[in-house]
Amino acid sequence: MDDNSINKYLELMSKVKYDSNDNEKLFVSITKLLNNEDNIQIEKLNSMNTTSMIGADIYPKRHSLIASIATAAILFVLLLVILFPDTITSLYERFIGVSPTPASQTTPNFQTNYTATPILTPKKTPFQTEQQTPSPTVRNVYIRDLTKNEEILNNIYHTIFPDRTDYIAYWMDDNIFWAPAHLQETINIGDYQLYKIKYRYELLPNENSKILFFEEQVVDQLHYRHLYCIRINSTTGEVISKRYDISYLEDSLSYRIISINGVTYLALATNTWEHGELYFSEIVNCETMEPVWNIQDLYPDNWESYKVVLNENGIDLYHGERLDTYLVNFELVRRIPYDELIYA
Amino acid sequence: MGTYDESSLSDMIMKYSSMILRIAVQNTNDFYVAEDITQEVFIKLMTCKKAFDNENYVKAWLIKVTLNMCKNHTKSSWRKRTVSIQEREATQFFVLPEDRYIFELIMKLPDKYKNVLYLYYYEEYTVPEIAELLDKKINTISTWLRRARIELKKMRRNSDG
Repeated sequence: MDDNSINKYLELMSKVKYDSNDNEKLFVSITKLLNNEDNIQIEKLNSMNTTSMIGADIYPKRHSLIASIATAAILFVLLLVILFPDTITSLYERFIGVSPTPASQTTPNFQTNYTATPILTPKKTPFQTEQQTPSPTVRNVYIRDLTKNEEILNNIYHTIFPDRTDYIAYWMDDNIFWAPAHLQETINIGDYQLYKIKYRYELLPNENSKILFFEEQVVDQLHYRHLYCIRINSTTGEVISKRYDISYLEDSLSYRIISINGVTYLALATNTWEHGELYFSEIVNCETMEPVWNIQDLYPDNWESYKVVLNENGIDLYHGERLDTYLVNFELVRRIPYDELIYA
Repeated sequence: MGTYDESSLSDMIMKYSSMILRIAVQNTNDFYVAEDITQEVFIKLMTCKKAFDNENYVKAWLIKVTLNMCKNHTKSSWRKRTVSIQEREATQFFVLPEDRYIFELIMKLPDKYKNVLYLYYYEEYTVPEIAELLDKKINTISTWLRRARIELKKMRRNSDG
């Protein structure tokens, strides 16, 4: 994974910001708008009252006189404060006992507050080294003793990736994944996203063996992913057969173990993604791990446009028509039983 | 006015104005529209009658409202009829031509990818939190995040090449 792209993105986004002046302007314009809105409401109310009380004196004259006197008094006090600030302050302290609050503290001080709030610095660069950003929280990632089955899985993992000698098994939300051992004190959600390898396994009916799926997410080439189908002996962990030739996997893998005339098959359907959505489906014989059918048999030229939904007895085949880059409309083409596909 | 007074408005502006602006810029690629949206979001906050339990809810609410307003703007016929003028574009934040160029590339990503990138890496939301915020499945968000990274990587590769 290219950490530079994320870092560059964060760097650019940090430049898109409001400075203290912008914030102040925003504050002023919002309060103005809100006050205007209030005034408009009052005007509306007044006009409603006037209409309903035509000829009535809404504001009696004595109220106007009181209001005028009060306004004059306030203006006079303000004038005194401006002309003789020290005298007024000392008089205030003498009679009231405390200093009046400076006017600057009653209005928002954007400059001071703004510089004290480091919200514009990108906080997360998931690919920085441990020394640069020690992770503050370990998010439910834990290590524990392996059960017998997990021991087998762990062995298989290291069989598939022999170069990853320093990788150990972690759990997160009951999902197992493998990541370098040195991350165990600091592993966070970013590491989890980076290293998680989903696995699923199924017990094959009438066999003392299991089939195991790995969806591999290669760290340095994220868009190349592989599906590993491995048949193992659940008692000894011995690998009986394996196959791993499906690449460009997306995470919408669905599968079904089906049994037809005593033979066990694995039906797979996945959407693959590279420059848009592509779909792929096939049926594999679990004994030999060889495919017995795949979507290209039906549509050799445009197989990628056909999405398969796996049901209990057969598949639902949909044709996808692209409406725009990221929107596809699906139409059901037909339903086909598994045996018809296998014995075609 | 809603549940907020002027003092809390100034606090909210200081904390969240840039976040809202970034989301709006990402989704509209128009500096002036992004500014209008930022202002509208705060007005909505001030006039809404909603009582928030804590600051996290306020932040999440602001993000949701911003995204909805951006969507409404994108859908509006006015936008479809107008042509983007260069001086209105968000690239004005960047002095360096290289930064402008890369930002232009980023702007070409689908909005959903830009939004998950921003929320995940910049705002440090987790995938489940983003899923809740955007009302999507966790798997969908994981997929978008992965595709966004891939696209970003490709863009960088192309721009370097």
